[in-house]
Amino acid sequence: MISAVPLEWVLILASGLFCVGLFGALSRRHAVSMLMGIELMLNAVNINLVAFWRYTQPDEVGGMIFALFVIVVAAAEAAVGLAMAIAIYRTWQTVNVDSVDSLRG
Amino acid sequence: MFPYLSLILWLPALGALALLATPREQHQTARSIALAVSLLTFVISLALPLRFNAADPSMQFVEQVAWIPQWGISYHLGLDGLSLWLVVLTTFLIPIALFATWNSIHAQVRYFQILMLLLETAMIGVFIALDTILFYLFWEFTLIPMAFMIGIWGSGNRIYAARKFFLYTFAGSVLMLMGIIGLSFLHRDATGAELTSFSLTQIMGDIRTGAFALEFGMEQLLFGLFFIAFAIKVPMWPFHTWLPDAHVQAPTAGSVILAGVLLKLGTYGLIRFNLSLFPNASEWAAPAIGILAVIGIIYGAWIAFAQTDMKKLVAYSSVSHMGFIVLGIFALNEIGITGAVLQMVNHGLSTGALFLIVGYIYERRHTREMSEFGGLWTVMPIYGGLALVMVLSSVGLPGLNGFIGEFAIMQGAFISPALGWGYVAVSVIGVVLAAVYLLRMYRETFMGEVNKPENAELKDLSGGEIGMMVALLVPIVVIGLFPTLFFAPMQASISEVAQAFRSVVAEGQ
Amino acid sequence: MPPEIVIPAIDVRVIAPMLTIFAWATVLLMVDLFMPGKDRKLTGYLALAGLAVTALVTLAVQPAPGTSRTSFSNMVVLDSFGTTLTLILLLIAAFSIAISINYLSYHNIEMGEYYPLILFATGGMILLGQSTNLILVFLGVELLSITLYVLTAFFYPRYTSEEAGLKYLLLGAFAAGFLIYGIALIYGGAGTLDLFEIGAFLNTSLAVGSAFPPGALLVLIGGALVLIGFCFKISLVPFHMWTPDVYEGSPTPVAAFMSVGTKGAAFAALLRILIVALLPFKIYWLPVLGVLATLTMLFGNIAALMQPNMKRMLAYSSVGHAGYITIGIMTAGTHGTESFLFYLLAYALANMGAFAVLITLERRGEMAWSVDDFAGLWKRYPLLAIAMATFMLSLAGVPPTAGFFGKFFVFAAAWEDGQIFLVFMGVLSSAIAAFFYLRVIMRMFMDEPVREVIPIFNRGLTITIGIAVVGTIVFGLLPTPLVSLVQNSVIALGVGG
Repeated sequence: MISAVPLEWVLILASGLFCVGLFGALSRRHAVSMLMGIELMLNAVNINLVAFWRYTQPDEVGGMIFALFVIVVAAAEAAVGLAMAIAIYRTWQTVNVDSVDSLRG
Repeated sequence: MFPYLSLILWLPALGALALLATPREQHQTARSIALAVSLLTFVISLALPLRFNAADPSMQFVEQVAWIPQWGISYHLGLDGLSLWLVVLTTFLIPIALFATWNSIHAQVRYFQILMLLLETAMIGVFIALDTILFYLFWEFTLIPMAFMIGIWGSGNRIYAARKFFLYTFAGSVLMLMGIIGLSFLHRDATGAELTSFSLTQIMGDIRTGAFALEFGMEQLLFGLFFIAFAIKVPMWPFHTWLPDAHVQAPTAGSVILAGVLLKLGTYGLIRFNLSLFPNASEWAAPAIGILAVIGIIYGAWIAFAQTDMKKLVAYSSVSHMGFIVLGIFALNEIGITGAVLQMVNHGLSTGALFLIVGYIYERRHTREMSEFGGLWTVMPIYGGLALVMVLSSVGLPGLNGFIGEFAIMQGAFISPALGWGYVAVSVIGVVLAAVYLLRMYRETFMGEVNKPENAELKDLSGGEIGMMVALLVPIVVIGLFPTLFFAPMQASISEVAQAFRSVVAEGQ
Repeated sequence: MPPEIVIPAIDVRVIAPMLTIFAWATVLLMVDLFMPGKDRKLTGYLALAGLAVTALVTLAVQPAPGTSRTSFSNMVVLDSFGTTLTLILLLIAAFSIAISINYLSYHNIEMGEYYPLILFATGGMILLGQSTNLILVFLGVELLSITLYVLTAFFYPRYTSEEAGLKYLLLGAFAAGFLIYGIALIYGGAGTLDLFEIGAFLNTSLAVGSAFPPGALLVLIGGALVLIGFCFKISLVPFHMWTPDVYEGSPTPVAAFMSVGTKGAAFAALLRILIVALLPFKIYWLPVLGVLATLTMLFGNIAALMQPNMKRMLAYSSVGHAGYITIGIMTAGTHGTESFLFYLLAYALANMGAFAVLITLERRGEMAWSVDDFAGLWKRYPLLAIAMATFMLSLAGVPPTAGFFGKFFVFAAAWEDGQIFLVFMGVLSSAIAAFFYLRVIMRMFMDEPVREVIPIFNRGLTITIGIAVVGTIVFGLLPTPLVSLVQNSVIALGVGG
């Protein structure tokens, strides 16, 4: 199965996913959508990490462990992010980042 | 060896600390303490010329203690013929300036005295520091008290003037910091030493012996970095614009110190750093700097001529006079540099006196417009007489101090291969103009009839004011009559500076 | 066949400082839960005690100068660089807590979680300074970032604080995406996440042939992405846009904490990555960082010029200072490491002090921080004005303050490394910076008061300001002991024994 799918393909998939996430994070104005974009970026990284681990050094655990760490961190980030989005919604009645704009100068 | 230099350096700062302990409202106590401390400093500093060995060109009264040994930075003080009179000038002018504030500064008296004493420490430190970082520290620290003096006790547009003063000088000095860093690293790499050394004497010694030779391009760069810092302080045309603002807004005592000592830091630095460390680049830049100096002489005189405000007039005359000093320095020969150093002292005395004179009348009438006055001689004869002597000293009348310095500078510039008679010819116009504008000021304010009723009732100088004037008059006359007394201790050190150029010139011919 | 997982030998001393602070924070969280009443000052004092204990532990386990200890399969290192950095970070955290204790109750946002969060963030910073493995670098960055997102938005329900929190979170998470994508690429290229091994890999693979091996290319691209991620964290121009908004919106003590702590820790990690792992690529990152540092110094200082809002001004000034620190870490091969540590401490003292002064003038329910409030301060609160002037002069780099020697060491390190142009840009931008620092001083000493301002003092603020003033001046006059300290703080370049 490894020989069937070269590493490059997986990497291209991951970078494509990363770009989709990047685009989402940059183009969306809704805080939750932006968070979703960022999650996509992180998941692209996970694909990368797992692929590198499986293809280049399956005997070490570093890459796999790192992927686990990334998942945990992404979850923590999402938890704080969503909590903040809810808090913002309570005061501003919106989570559109263009409307949430009182700081400037 | 008794640490004379440390004592003179830190005594005013200790006085400032003591002042912090005095009650805020007792103005008279603060004034007395500050004056006593500064007078004591002056008396101790008189030991310097007495114990100075005029035949020895090297540093005397040297003190050296490791400060940041990891970088080769040390607390290193010393005095030579170049700095001797400048230190004495500083300790001499500070009590006079403090005394001048006796009746003119009424707000936050204690802090004014503290700043003045801190300023004294910083200025003395600049003259006697032999470590480049120590020098930089004192150099920068002169800025803070002076800017505060202008900004808090100044008049009119004081904040603008204080800011301009600070930023101009600060911009120049950060460039100097770059030069200091570069110099020490190049020195380390050239001599193969393990640690950097920021000792001025060591770097200078290695340059003179040839152990540390700079590549010409690098020498030009470093010369430029130091030159800009000093040229702003002097101030040379076209860096002079901060000076009139600072002078006009500063309180009288501030002006006296600014013109009397602070400007000399720049010219002192030019000799101590630019000439001593970068002889080749000095040789290369001398004609151009000479032109700037001559422009400064003529420009300062011309603008002074157009002034109606007496303080502005004296301020612009400083630009002109400082131009002379720079011209003497970049004559790059003994006589020119000697004249320049003497002229620094002279300018400190006579311009300081002129600012006091303007200050006296300002305190009485709260105006400095020449048109407001006339015939003051008849109302205030003592004032008129003393003012005349000071004006003549500034003009350069033979028999008084100004003449000796200017003459030596002209002579030096004339025989200098770097400058020549053309520079002298143009700068003579400056001398003539100086006579014209200063005497015109004197004529308009002191001669003629009393044309304003407000002026008829003015009181003549008080005993204290006369005392200050007389104190300034003594060195003015002594220098004029016995210049050798003052030249002698400088000679050995200055000929060592000039030595470098003689060899360059000899090779060139 | 799943790989066999071997538990490596563990040297607890290496992680003792982190372990202490994390344990203390966790316990404190529990203690706070069962603490009666609404007054949370005790939690703050306990947090301070925790920092003190951590400092003692750090001193107890510090390695002999020049040596280092590693553990957890070389993932964490304890070298003298890490120890010094930890102590500086603990000092910063202590200042932040000291100025928070009364601030929180005064502004009605007193909640016990605040202090453990600061401790957790500090632990993350310490981890960042000690990790020699990219997994831990990432973990450290996230640990301190996520806690800071919460702290930024701590001023609930003030809307600017929430907005700042959201902005910080979105940009921070975004930057983290770049960071780990870069790390993944480095992992793919070098086949390892260990900084030492990455350095060794690059050395061998670049030495072999003249062609650029694909593995090294992957590391290069990954390194660039990691750099972008860090540029967000340390707010280098053009990745600084969030800084003024986040500083303005967050509670002032948190802004103070971020401005020095986050920066210091992120710079330390970047320093380690650049020097230990990516040194063979110095020809690539040096010009890039040089340009970024120049832009940062110039832009940060010029933007600060136009700020009437003190908090934003300090934010831009912190952007400018990031530029100087960047010069220090770029030239870390020579005197850069020590100049970085010295600068960090000098900057921390002055900046924490300036923020503390800002807090004394901050009024309940107001969000002005106008420079007008400083006008005429000298006439009524001379000591406060003198303290603020000292901080401003130190930030501007005027002697005799610690800030001057910080700048001096950074410029000296840059000159020694041959970066003369950077020295020139550095001195040029510090001349620009003098403008706005001086403006504050002028307003305080030379202007008449614009409106009635009554500073609020309390013990924490007074002590912080006092220590900061004394430290700034003492290290400005006598930097020798500090120079010895930072000079002995060498970074472990290999796996130590």
